Amino acid sequence: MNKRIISIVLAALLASSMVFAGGSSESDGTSLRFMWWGGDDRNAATTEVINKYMEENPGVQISAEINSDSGYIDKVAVMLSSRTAPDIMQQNVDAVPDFVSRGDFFVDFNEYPELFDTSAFDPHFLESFGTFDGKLLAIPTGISGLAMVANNAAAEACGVDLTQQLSWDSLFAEGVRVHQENPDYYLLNVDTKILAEYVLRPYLRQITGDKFIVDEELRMGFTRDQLVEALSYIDQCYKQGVFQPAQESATFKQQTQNNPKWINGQFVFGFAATSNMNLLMAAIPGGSFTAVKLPLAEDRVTDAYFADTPQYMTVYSGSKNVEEAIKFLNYFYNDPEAQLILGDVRSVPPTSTARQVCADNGMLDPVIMQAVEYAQSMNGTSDKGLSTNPEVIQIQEDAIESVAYGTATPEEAADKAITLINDFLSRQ
Amino acid sequence: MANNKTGIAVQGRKHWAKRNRTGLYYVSIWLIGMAVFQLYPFITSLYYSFTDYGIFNAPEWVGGDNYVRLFTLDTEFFNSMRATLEYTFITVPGKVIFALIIALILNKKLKGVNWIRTIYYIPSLLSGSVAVSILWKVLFMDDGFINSLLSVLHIPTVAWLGSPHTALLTICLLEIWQFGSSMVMFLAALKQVPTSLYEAALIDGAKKTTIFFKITFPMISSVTFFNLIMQLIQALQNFTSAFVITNGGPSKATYVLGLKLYTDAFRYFRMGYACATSWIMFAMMLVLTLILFATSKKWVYYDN
Repeated sequence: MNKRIISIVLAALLASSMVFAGGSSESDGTSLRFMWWGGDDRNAATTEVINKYMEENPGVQISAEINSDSGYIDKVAVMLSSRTAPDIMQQNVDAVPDFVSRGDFFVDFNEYPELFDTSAFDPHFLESFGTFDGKLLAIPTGISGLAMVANNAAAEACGVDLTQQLSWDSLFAEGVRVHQENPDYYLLNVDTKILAEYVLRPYLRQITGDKFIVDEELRMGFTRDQLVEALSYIDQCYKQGVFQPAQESATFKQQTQNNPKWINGQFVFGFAATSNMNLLMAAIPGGSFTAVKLPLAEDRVTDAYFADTPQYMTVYSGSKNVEEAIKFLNYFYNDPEAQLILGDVRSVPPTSTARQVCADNGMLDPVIMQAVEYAQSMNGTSDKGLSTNPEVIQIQEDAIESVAYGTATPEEAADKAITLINDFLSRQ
Repeated sequence: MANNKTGIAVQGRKHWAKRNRTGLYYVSIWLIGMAVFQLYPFITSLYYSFTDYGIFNAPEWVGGDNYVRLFTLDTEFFNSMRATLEYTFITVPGKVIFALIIALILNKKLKGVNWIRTIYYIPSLLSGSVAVSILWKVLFMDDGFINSLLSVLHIPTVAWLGSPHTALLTICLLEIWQFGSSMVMFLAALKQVPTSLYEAALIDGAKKTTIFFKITFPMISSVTFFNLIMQLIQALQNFTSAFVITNGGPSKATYVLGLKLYTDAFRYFRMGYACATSWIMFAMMLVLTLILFATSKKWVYYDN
């Protein structure tokens, strides 16, 4: 009998420890979870703002959930679907349209005008970035764009003029010349992910004027011949030494700043979003850099490049403390002290007041400011949507990889990509 | 007398029933965990494999469409299957043979053999971890330790992870390097081989190779068989190294089925489709395991 009682008690104890292992609930005050990804500077600044807010609001407890960029979208997706998402989430710009199309996950900031002040934002910017069907579901964290940054020393060594507006043809010719004259040097530091975003899609869009996939009509925005042309351009860039061979650069995918050739000053240009440009520049201590204009086809229909936001902030609709989460974000975006702490850790700030604070304190890097200006001067519009769906991006990258590694001709790669895109579109 | 016997039998049954109940209480937590976290997902994944199920929407029955699509439309599926089978057919024999060779060496009476055994076992403690995958990536990067070593020795460097021709092999090496568990089992089996057999063979003038193939290998064949089965199942499920070291690249050379399954499920939100892939993986494991079992009758010797 004793054994039976002991076994039942042990089983009950074990079961209860499993059930309640998640921790006890907060008995007092308001508890929020805030999740983001970032480098050391961003993490430190964001944590400091959280601490300041908690000091000023003693009843509020905010727990920071700091992540890596890698796998972040997957994690958010699982959290949203399992209704375990944090109250406040930094979001990947490419992923938000997809999440919005799949459910009512985010709070509409327009419903809380007394809690969230949008007066320091450019209304057109908020309308373009963060507003979905009239609802302000995501707040942009900054103004950014794709950028091309030159290592001045390498440019000088290779005789590259940084003031010229490059076309795709002149970029290619310059790249071939640089590598022929200096076999250790390459014009561009790229990976296949960068090539999809900075070359393939803009190249096609400059020819066609359409997004890679026209969402409204569920069709491709290009013909087979146009895709073959774009892939042939990339193919020739690899073959003629404009890009470093894919075999050598493969291990630096999504971290081109760590490529030893970049660190040793043997690349003239690097590509990065303005929000990440500092990583490329920081990789060469003591280096000097220049932001240059991105390549434009002479007979283009559109510039294709555009200014947008590096990330969004959203409030989870299932949060038990929606109002407190919005109040915190209002502090995050509009409080002068928070603006000073955050500086440009998420690119050039999106509010006029924060930009002023940064300018007054000399916090904005002139090279990054120049790159943002160039991005704002481009007349392209955002291609977020089906064109940046993870599956479609993977198709673009796979096509580029297959020509980069010589496992397919541009024609074969284009045919395979078109088959896969048609399959993708048939499931939408 | 009969009543007495019946009484004892009833008492015995009661005793065993009570013992069984107590035992059941003790294992109930594990049983509940198994039912909730293994059996339930196992059964529901079969159902989901016949549905169009994203993680954001309710499953919708589509019959065998997912399976048909995998075999007819999905060009990546066969590439992933090829990568998985290549990985399996390199790592399983590689690991088992390597573990056996090291076990044979460590079975000899060497000075400090216990220390050597421990050192050889250490890589297995790190088995399947993200940290060891990152270590491997750093070792085999273009400017990593291995290439630096080759440069010092004036040997041409290799694009270990950058070339579609070598990336899979590099990942296989990581798996083979973690041979410790198999080695320990081989060591235990080698200790069980009666020395009288070796003595008799030596008296008969048998060569070392003859002794190995006629005595040692048959006597440890059951452990070899066990190792093969376990390594086969583990290899077919590979995910971590392909995900962390190469993320399926370059040019999909290491895009194994485990990684494809993850990508379909958590990046493209096609849960039903990923479930279909997982059931095909399961079928592959089943078929290969059954083949091994069928061949085992010819080469596995059980002492008892």
